Amino acid sequence: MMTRQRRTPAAARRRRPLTREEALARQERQQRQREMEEESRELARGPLDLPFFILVLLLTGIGLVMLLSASFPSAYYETEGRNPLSYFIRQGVFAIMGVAAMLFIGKINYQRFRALAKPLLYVSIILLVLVILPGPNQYGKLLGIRANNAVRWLGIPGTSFQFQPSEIAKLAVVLYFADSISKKKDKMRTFRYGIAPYALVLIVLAALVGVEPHLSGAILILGVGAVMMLVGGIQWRWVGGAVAAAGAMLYLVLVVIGYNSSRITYWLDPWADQRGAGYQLSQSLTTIGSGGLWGVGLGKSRMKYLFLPEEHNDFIFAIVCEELGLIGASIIMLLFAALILRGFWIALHARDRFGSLLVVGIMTLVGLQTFLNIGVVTGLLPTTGISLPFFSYGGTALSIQLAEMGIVLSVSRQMKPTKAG
Amino acid sequence: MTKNPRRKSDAARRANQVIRGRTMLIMLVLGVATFTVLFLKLYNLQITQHDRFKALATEQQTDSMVISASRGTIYDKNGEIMAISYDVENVILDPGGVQDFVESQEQDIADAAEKAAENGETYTPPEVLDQAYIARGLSRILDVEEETILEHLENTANRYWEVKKKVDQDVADEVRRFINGEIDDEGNQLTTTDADGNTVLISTGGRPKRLQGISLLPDTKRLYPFGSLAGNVMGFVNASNVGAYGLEAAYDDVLSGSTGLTITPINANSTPLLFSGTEQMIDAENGNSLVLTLDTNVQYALEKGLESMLDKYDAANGGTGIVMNVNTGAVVAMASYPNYDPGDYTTILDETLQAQLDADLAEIQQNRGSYDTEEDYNKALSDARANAQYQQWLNKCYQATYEPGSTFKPITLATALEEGVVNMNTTFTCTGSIHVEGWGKAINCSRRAPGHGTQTLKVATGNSCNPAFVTMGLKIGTQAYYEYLRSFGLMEATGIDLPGEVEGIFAGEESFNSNVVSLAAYSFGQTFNVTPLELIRAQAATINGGYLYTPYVVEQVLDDEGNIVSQHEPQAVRQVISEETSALVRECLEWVVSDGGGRNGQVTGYRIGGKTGTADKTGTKDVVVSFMCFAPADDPEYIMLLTMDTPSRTTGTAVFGGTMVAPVASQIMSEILPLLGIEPDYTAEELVGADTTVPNMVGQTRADAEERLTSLGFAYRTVGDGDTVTDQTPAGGAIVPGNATIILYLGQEKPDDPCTVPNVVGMTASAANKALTNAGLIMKVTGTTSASSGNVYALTQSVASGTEVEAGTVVTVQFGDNSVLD
Repeated sequence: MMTRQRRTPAAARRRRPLTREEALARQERQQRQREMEEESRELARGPLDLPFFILVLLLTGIGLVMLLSASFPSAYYETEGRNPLSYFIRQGVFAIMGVAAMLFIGKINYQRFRALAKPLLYVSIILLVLVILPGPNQYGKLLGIRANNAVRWLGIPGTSFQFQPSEIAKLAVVLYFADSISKKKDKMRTFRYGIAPYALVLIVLAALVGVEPHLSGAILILGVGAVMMLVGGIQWRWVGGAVAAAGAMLYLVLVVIGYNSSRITYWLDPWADQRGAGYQLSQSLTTIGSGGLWGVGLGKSRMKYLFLPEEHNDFIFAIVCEELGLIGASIIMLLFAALILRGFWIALHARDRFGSLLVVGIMTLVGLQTFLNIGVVTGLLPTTGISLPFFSYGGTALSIQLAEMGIVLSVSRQMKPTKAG
Repeated sequence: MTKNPRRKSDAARRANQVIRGRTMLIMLVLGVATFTVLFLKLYNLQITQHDRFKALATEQQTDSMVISASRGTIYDKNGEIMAISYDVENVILDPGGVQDFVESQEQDIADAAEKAAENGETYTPPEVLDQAYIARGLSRILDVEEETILEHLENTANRYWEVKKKVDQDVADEVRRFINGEIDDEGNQLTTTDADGNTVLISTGGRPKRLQGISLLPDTKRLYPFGSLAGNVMGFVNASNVGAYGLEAAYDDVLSGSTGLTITPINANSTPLLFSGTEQMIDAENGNSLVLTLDTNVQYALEKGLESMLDKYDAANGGTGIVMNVNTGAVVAMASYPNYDPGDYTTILDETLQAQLDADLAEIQQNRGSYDTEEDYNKALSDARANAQYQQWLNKCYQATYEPGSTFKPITLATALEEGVVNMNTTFTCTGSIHVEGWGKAINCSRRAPGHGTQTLKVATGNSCNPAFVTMGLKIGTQAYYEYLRSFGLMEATGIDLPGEVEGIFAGEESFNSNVVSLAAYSFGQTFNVTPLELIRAQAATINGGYLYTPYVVEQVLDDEGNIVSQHEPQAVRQVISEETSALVRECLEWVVSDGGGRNGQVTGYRIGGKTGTADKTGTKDVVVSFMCFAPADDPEYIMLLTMDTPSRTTGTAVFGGTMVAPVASQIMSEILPLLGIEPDYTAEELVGADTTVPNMVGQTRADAEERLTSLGFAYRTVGDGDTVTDQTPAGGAIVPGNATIILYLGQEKPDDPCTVPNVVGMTASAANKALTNAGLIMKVTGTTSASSGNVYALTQSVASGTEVEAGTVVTVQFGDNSVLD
């Protein structure tokens, strides 16, 4: 901090000897600076936000239990009865790693993440390009791995490790936007500084993710970017314009482009082709509806027995609804809501704009993803592959989510003391 | 913040404020609004639409398997099985599954070939068990056209096709062996059992290849061991084992029982769920069995007699026969022609009906041009076939009506006697015809002018004199007559426990009462219609003391362990006429058989009452000839009514009930009465005969001896097959009753086993005769044997019981009327 202060252009230009007043003032300023530094260090050593931490652990724990229940039959049949716990164990390992990462990141002073903002952005762009780069592997790509008709995964050759660069891209957007917007202040009201650079970043990233194709990933990136710009202080007319543009885009993508139009048809009426295109959604609705108020009981889902596709994955919430009923599903949604509200509460009490924006971005990711996932599963939104945070099977995703929670915890350690507590 | 205002610029403060405000907005949207929307959606799905989704889920999550209940058995009154179900199987093909099976084999071969090529080995692909192979194999076993099977196999979108239904167990087992790969398409054995008891291929010792896409489903088939016997009463079950006609339909609920169900939770691949002990089972309840009032022996005698009659007189429209217990309404036998075999109910059994159908079909084919479309033409053909089937399925005993003619006269007679408008001394004068008011033409009598002259009531009945009966009817009057028609149950269905009963067709009461023309015609059984069953029940009421019973065929219902579930309790519907009147009717009707127009209905050893009938079918020149008779005439137990519709006029026999039907009725009665436990009650004359000396015929030729015995009135039987009589029983010179049976030995040695004399004291003449004859002895009757008193029993016997004597010894039995001793 000190070194940075000395290198400011104003300080560098001033070469003449200082007057006494000036020297005193400078001394005073330096003293104040030291106090602030001290205060900051103290703040960074403050306690992490316990309610938020408990909510994360609760959701991760419940998510693991539900994953065990939902994935058991699939794992059983896929391994021909040898290892019905295979999905659960793998997810459990990632959960432990993720919680460790969360605690570790929570200890770091989040200001240090500023330095990561730009490099992470560049890295994620490079990774996204690597995914779609054509090459000689079995999917016709260099490193990309195809699953479900889309190349979203990147594998490290020679290992079975694979991950989705779009997960990193989302975090990169949050970090970069938080860092950059927090410095702009009033300039956010202008097009040149408040809109253009961010729009450019978003368009590049969304396009790279969109061509995989990974529609839900692109939507999340655009969504979280837009929310951060909005919170950062862009003018309302741009917000209005963006909403209009998004609406137009949505119409174009959903109705004009063929691969999605049938998606719309079977979203609106999944029963028209129950055995075909409408199968997944009609099965999901049946699963949810058959749960009733109290559910069929934990572990007693029938629909997980190969009826509902993606039951341990994107559609795990349907199994939650079936087994735990409206009561259980509502409790879990309340936990999510509490997590999100507590997250935003941390953002409101963050020590600086960077911290606020960082938490806003991360909680927006969680909130959007939760809403989109449950919306898709219940037929409220057209089907798109989006996972439920803490619940859906997916090791890297879970680890990254927990790491993000670590960032929020890190910000929470430097919250200003409040009357409300 | 306010403590150090200098620390932050205005811009920074403004930025912080904006961020704070907008963060709150997003906080509310993502933390509250979205979850509210999601909750409402979930509420809609899980609460509002719960029932619908629960049903959908249950439907796909469970596999229910129907356990069929076995259909009850139908027994005749003696416990003979008349209908029984046994297990068979249906052979089902899944063309889509077969296609998958063939493709998977081809894939396996391709994979193996690729692997072999990689390793540089030579690979001989195995034979692909394809559609043609399956079609060949099934065609051989099931006798279904190979092309037909192939054609269905090509339609791979189809997942279910019944190759053959209701296949017997041995055939199903062979299909199973074909599926299991134990035999090939040509039936060659492919497998053997190895030392460990495993089934292995002979060729390689490997596991046999199981065919996929063929399955066997259990089913049951109904067997009718007596074939067409009583078929029109039995009815039949359709392909789904549901009673469709006759008894099978009427008692379908009782016979079918209730099917059970197992409900198994399954996964999407339709295999049972892991760890699910939650299988639910609803037990199948086997159907109850029926014990009928029918007696297959009586039924057989009835059908044999009827068939010979219909055949002999070339009846165009078949006929009916009913034997009923007069005191309960129990139907002992019931036959209707044309008939059919319930086990093969679509095949036309009756030759006359088949000829008629062939003619109808030929006519339709000839007029093919008159049908607008192919469809109409085919419909006409199938309608003709359906009509023929309907004709044979019909039980005309209660599902068709006819004009009864003179067999109806007992009803008029009973009514007239009951109303007191005639008595046994009333006389009628017949001039050959009679005029009634309101009818221009004369009503003719069967004997034209000069007619029957003056007759008593009994003689008039014996003569079946139309003018006499018209006179009786007129004396009764329209209103009373109509009331009696009702009272005799003729205007209602009899209520027999068989389906689809029809009712008689009568004039409306007002129109009947408006003049006497209908009454006159009704009096001798014309211009109205009844079913044979309605008629026989009314006839029974005239002779059984006046009681009208509801006819029935099911005596008992048994559960599947043989316990009686229900038992029919016969109860008279009402008493129509008095016991006294009924006795008089019996007397008249016995006269009909003993001295009147029903003489051909006499049965030796029995007192028979009866009435003949030759009814005009109004509007045609055809007639229905019929005969009703009952026995014993003095205390009736069984009544029989035979009808024959439209006999040929060119057989040389006069077309009358008395000439065509009565002789057959006599034949049938002589066979069935002993079966029904009514022993012949020979009159003294019949039994005593004239005592005759047996001639010595030893050494004579067979022909001479037979001629001699016949001329003397002896019955005889021969033992051996020589041409010369070598011995005889009784020996020549013995004096025996003229109706005794002489045994002639032709080359064969006469057995010298002694016969043991039975005790006959206390027996009736007929019972004593039977006992002695069975013992190889000859009975000579002395004493009082007048059968009409009904109290004649053996008082003494000439040879003590237990004595051993030579076969053919004459035992003299003294009879007496023991009632006079009291």
